[in-house]
Amino acid sequence: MTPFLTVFIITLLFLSGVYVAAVMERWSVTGTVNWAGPMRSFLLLFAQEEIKTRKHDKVFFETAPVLFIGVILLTISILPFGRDSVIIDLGTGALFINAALVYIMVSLLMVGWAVNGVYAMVGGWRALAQLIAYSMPVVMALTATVMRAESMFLTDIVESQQGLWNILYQPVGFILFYISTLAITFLPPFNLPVAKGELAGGVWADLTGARKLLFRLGRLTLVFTISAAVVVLYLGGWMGPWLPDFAWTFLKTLLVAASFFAICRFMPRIRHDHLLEYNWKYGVPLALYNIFQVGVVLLL
Amino acid sequence: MIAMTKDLPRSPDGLPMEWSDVQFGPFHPGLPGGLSLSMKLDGDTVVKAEAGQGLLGHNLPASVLNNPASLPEYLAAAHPMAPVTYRLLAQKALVNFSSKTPNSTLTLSEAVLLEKERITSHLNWLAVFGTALGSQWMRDQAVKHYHRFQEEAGDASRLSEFIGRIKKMPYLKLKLSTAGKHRVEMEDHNQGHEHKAHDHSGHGHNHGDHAGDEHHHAGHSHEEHKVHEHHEHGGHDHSKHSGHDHSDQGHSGHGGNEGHGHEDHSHQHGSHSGHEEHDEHHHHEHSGHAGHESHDHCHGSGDEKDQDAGTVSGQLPDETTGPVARASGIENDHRLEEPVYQQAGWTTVTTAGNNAWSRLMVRLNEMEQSLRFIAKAGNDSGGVSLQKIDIPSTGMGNGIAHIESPRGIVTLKFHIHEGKLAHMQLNTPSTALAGIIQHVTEQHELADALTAVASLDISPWEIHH
Repeated sequence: MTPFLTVFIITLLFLSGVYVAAVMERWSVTGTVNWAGPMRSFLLLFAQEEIKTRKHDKVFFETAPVLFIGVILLTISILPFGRDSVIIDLGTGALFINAALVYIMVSLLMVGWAVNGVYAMVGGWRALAQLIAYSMPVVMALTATVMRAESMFLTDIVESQQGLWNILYQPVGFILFYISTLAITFLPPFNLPVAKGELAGGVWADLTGARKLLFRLGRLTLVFTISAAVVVLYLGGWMGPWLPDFAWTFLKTLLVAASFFAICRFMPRIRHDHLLEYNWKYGVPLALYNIFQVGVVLLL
Repeated sequence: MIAMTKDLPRSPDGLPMEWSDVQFGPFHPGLPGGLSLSMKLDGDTVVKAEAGQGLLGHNLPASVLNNPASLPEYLAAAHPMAPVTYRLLAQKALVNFSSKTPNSTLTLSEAVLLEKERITSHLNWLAVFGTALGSQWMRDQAVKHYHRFQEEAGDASRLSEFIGRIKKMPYLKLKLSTAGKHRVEMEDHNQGHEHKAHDHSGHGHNHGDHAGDEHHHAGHSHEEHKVHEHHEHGGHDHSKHSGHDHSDQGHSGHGGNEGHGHEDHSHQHGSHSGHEEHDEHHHHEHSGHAGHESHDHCHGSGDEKDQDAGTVSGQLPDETTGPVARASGIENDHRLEEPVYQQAGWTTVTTAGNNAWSRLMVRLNEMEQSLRFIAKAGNDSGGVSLQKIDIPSTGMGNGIAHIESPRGIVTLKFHIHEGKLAHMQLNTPSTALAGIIQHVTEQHELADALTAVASLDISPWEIHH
């Protein structure tokens, strides 16, 4: 397959994947599978009037959605979809994932402040609390995968899983990373910043039109991107028989995304004090144990 | 820094912060539609919360004043969250007014109707509560079952299965167990213990900010009950209130002088006639409730103070009835007075906890109880009873009736003079529930506070001046 065709197919698969994630998100909310629903929502938001709140912070109001989607696109650019299918094969790819995704919550905090409303402000504070909660387990779980690969190149991390995928090699790390990345996507049960039943939409409560569309679309892209990161780091990336390598990446990514939305539907929202407690009291010690366990196995 | 923060209000932790006044509702997704909640927030902590009163209130139209027989339909229309309940209540009161032996009780058919409405009301509440909790599945399933039961196509086994799944939902109990606990601030404890605001469920209640009269009228009117009538109440053993030691409080005779008003209004129905003139009740005997200065039913002993948040009865205002009261262990259920329920071996569903989880459990168990009752009633499908009541155009009289609505005991009293409605008093449970909003939300984090308010199941149609 020519490189151009590969890139074209990967892009098409990626966009399809985001659309399928949108259908799954709608299922997690309504319980029904509606293939036309995301397109209708897109057109509705696209055509919707953009209302600006009184005394909003102009700089943050304009830049927060752009930062949100920009960070996600940067993360996508370093993820390998196939053996030779990566936009930027960054030498510090594993670290970059964590660093870039911090700005997801930063952008939520920015928009919470910018809107000049209490619902959004409380949502922004919650985003900050959530960041504090998940940031340590996610970076420590990442560290263990880097230890095994002895490299921060994401392609090397995938290659290191030739014999045994990391989900089996370091299951504790996988669970911690999975839960933490679910928190990064602020999907239920971690949708504290955008809690509909408590904050009437939280940081998104006062957004309309294109801004809201950017955030909604951005979150779907984020879910797909995070799912791809889980696949790259723990599920063997592109490895699999018969199909082209990028096809396996996308299949596994869709499975991970589906699991995210399944949890969405059936779990109640977590309390932010519990989130902080569980991550710091249990998540960090478990992550340390995971690093220790991987280190011992590597030395043996 | 000092200059900037000099005049700012101080939080309990001493930090000066700008507080926000926020409105939740009347169209908030996590609260009952129509309920307007004003909160003062210190960051994301609730300092003060108050429900908007009288937003959906209305005056009695002339057509009802002139034709009291239309009262059932009027009340049914005025309370769309429980129309059958209010229709039955008004019919009972009119029957009590017109009958020579006024002691109207529910027929089996009416009881079945009441229980069906209880199921739909609780499902409606569950849908809103699911939204507040962030569980779309709970909300969607509750809505589906609600519509099925509304259309008389409900499947009892599937509903039971749904209820079972909710009870086993991971993390839900942990999440709700600390939400909605009724807090009290014991500034003036008669045992000499000084308590700061703390999370003791059941350690008396502070109603110093409630005017005594309003408080008495909030849920149930006490003023028309003779003291001696309390002795007629057999079979209500309030010593069953878990965690509450009544042994030295003289409850057995219901002397009524101890200020234990929460018992006297709940179970007097069997002995009250519709036409009986009630002496003015001695408010002084219940004056202990006004500020709850008399903490006879509060728990001043060190042992009780250190109790876990289990049920300690008496901690809620006396006017509180329904699932909220039963969730704190108070066996207060007007259905126990009705022969048709007694024949079915009715028992009160109570739990310990006095928090959002126990309120959820009570409502889920009540739904299952109602399903069993309806199944046992068999072919009596609960058709609409159309009793024609004749109101004489001369003379006067009183009508009184009580009914156990999905939210608590509703009491209707009216006076008819020469065929016209001269006076009407409707005591609804939501008014009392609105009164405890402050106590279940104060110093709670915002999400917990909203969950707590949602767990009370306040009907905005019932809150009125």
